[in-house]
Amino acid sequence: MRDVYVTYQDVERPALKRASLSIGEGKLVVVTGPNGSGKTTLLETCLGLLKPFKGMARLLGVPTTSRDVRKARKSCSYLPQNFMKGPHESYTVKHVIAMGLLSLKGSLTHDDMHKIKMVARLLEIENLLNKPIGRLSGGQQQRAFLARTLVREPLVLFLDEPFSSIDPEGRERITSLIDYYTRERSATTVMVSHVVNEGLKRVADAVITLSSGELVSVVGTTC
Amino acid sequence: MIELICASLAIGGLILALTGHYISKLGLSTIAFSAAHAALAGAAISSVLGSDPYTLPALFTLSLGLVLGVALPKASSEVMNNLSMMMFSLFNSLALIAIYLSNVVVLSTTRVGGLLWGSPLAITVDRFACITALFGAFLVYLMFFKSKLDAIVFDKRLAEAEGINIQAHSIAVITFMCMALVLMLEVVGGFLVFSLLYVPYIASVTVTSRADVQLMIAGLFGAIVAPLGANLSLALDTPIGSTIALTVSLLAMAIYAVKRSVERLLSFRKVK
Repeated sequence: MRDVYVTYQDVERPALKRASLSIGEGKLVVVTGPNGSGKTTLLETCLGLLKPFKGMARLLGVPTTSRDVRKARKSCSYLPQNFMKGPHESYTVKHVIAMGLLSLKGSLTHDDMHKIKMVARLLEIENLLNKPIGRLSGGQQQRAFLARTLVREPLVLFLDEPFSSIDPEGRERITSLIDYYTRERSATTVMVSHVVNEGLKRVADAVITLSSGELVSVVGTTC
Repeated sequence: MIELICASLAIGGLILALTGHYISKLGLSTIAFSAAHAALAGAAISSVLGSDPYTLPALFTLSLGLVLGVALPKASSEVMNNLSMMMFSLFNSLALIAIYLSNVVVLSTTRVGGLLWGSPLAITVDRFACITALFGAFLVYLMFFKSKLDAIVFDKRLAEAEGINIQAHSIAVITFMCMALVLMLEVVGGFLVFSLLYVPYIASVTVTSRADVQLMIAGLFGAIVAPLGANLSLALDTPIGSTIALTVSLLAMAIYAVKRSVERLLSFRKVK
């Protein structure tokens, strides 16, 4: 993205201003900053869910304002910050993970089912596959959504606070898993995290700090 | 003739219930409401002009449905709801003016009567063929895109982030619903046809929280209760639309009452 400004409706102050950033293939970049600093806005602008009113953002080389961005998104995965589903939500964990694949194609093959089970095993939710997602705890739901992002085998992973509901032990394991995925597949991972612990610092190629919608520092290499 | 009425109402009830399920799940209820009244206005104007009962209603309802569907991602839900309700009032006024212009004597004719409270005489072989074809087209659409609709229903923002075209699918569902409304409008009546859109969904939600089962229950409910209402209206010599709407609503309430009673009984036994 180059010189990007993003504002929300009826809010005068831009949520993101003068943001210029380029993230290369195979990089794991952590975006941090205080509440309201524009971390989620940056992530959603990269994905084209928010359109800049000034400047230009590209996803996999495609301008996010173009219609083709939808095709580019098929090569990406997104873990939203507000993922929690209420107790009425009856889709099973297996169905939720499968939705990640079904948004790419019409039906699931035997291999796809195997992939779903494998990724669920990696995230330690294999025994929850047939449970309704709404009946699970926040941490279990977050693991299910993370499984949905990984099962798509994306080129770019956008993760918004992926550890917000996960216990410290789980954080270490999932950090290693995301790091392994990024390196093994030469994927790009952009991860928003309120807190950057030692584990994250160790695996990140760059840590970007935002404050009041502005990029205030970039430590490491993003390209 | 009775077989044709029952078959048309079964298929019409089924497609209205299925589209109603997705309309409700996708949060498009107010758009559907105003689109249905646009169809009513189109039907009323076509009765004044003496034109065929399909073209103008389809033109009105599809234009409005598409305009609102295209505007959908750009507007907030509050703006969208208010805009839809404004359109509802506008098209309602047009419908009533057209009915008024068609003079008092005409009010008793089948055509205008059909617009207001429905008429079994509106069912023809042509209409039955159109309803069946529309149902077939919707089934094909579901066969290919149900998984995408499920993803949108589950989490719109996430589905959008995964590259699903939410707008296209919303417009597709609105289009199917508008066409079903146009075909069923003069059978069930302009002010009552929504009962077949929303009540089966409400009944299904009462029974289960599982979306796939809800879809099946809503479809079955629409397909069974609409012809049942028609048969009751023939037996009791009451207006077909009102009888169908009453039957649908009373059965939905009965399902709710049974569900609550069973739940209470079970919790009472647990406490014991």
